[in-house]
Amino acid sequence: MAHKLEKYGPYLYILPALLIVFCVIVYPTLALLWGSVTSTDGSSVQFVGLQNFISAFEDPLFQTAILNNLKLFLMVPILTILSLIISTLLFNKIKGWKFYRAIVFFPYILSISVVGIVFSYILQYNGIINTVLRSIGMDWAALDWLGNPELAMGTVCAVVVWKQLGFGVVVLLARMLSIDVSLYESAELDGASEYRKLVNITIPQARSIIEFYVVITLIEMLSWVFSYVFVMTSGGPGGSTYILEYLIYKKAFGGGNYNIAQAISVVILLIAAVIIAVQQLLMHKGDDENE
Amino acid sequence: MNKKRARPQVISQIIMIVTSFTILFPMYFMCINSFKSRQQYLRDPLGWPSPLTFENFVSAFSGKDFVSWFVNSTILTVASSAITMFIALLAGYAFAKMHFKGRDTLFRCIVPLMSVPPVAMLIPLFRMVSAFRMVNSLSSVILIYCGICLPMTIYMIRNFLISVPDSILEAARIDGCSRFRMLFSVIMPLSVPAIVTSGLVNIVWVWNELLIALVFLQKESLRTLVVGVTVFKSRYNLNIPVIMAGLMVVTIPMLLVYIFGQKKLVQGLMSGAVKE
Repeated sequence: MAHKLEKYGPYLYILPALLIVFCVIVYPTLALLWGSVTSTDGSSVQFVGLQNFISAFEDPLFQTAILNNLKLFLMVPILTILSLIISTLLFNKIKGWKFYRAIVFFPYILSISVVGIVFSYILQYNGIINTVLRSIGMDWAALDWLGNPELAMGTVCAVVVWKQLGFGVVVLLARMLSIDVSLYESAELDGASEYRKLVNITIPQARSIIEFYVVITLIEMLSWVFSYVFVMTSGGPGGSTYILEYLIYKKAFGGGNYNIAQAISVVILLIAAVIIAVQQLLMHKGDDENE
Repeated sequence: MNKKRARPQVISQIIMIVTSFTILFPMYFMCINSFKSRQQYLRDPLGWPSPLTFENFVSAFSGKDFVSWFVNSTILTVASSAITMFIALLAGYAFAKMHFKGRDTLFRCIVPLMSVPPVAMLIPLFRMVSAFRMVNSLSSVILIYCGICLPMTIYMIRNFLISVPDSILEAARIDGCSRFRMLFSVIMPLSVPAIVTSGLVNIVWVWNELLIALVFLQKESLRTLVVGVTVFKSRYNLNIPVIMAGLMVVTIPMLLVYIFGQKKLVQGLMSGAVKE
């Protein structure tokens, strides 16, 4: 008895976690794959092959959504570079760096809904930003930030950067603070510029954290941006700010079109899988180099 | 400080002041306007509130279900974080300190699990929950939140526990401590730093979550605060100070978390990033 407990006991400890993760993540993912290749008509379920995918791809809103998610991916290099710049400034211990760090990190704890609602008032056509711009004679710059289909997605992207920046700064800064100081000291003796130090010391030393940050942020731009669009634009104006997540939500809970929504969900899942696969490959390559 | 470094200092300060201003401005806008009368907001949206009024907060709280929204958010946040933590401790303990077949394979599945987009699970989950007639129940949402938080939390707890020397556990075992009792008398006290940091990350995430709460809690009285204020926005569209007061109520609890836990929170985010 005691022997059996010794052997199977550990499974009892992981069992609750396995059960919940199976119910919430694994089973739904499998059901999703099945749902994406079937069609539900009343109570009968029919296998339809790739028909749902074809219908999804033909939808112009799907094309807009894919393009908008690609625009969001463009925010990843922007965020990475901005985070590197700001964390380098703070790392040089400029006056008040701890204070600045606390401010830059602050948006992390805010709800996207709060951020989205506040920005949608600030950025209204007659909102405070445009009032200020007009009062200093820059009427040409007082645009309809969220109401103009050409501009709205760019505005959403800017708000995403506003909210996400602090996470990158704090994570990179924490890594920099743990780099061996003597590396920088000897570089300074050789008269290296700030730029040289960044490229030759900081970036190689922080490589794995930068990789982690890029991957996490790519995943976020793919699958955690629903709330921005839901709160700020509801996909509008004229469908110009649809993203994949919002399209899935609308197809399923706005139109009852569950099977097409599941086909689009599979597309998101595949993109996420590619990102993770590339990361795993890069990570293992990095390990080999270290050995 | 020599002259050569003086100019970069000035440029750095300018960059940081502009960045800080950009970050603080929207929060300033929300904060000051929540204390203004509607008339003053329309006249002067940027100035300091005078007279300062708490009426917007009173109006927000007297909104039909506002208090229940606050209670719902609190229940969801406390329950999901606590249950996640207990289950993650059990699993993290096993992954870090026990030997069993399939341990490493199972553990390697955790990172991919962390990256499954929640929206992808949404429709099958909704069907499952509907089949059990559990839509509009806080417990089904707690279960879903636990499922989403668990992989990351187990990952963090396990990585923390792996650095605890086995000799401590050996010593307890020789004193006659069973494996299960060890969980409470040795593992839990030792893991406090990891519990605090990953707990804070989960608390902030659950409190602020929108999509799942929106889909699974459709009854007005069961909404969370975050979903509530989003709906609230369209209802009080013309009285912006009341909306800002509602947003303040959403933000203040997390602000307290931030003030007391900033350092721990950062450690938590970092430990997710560190490869062993």
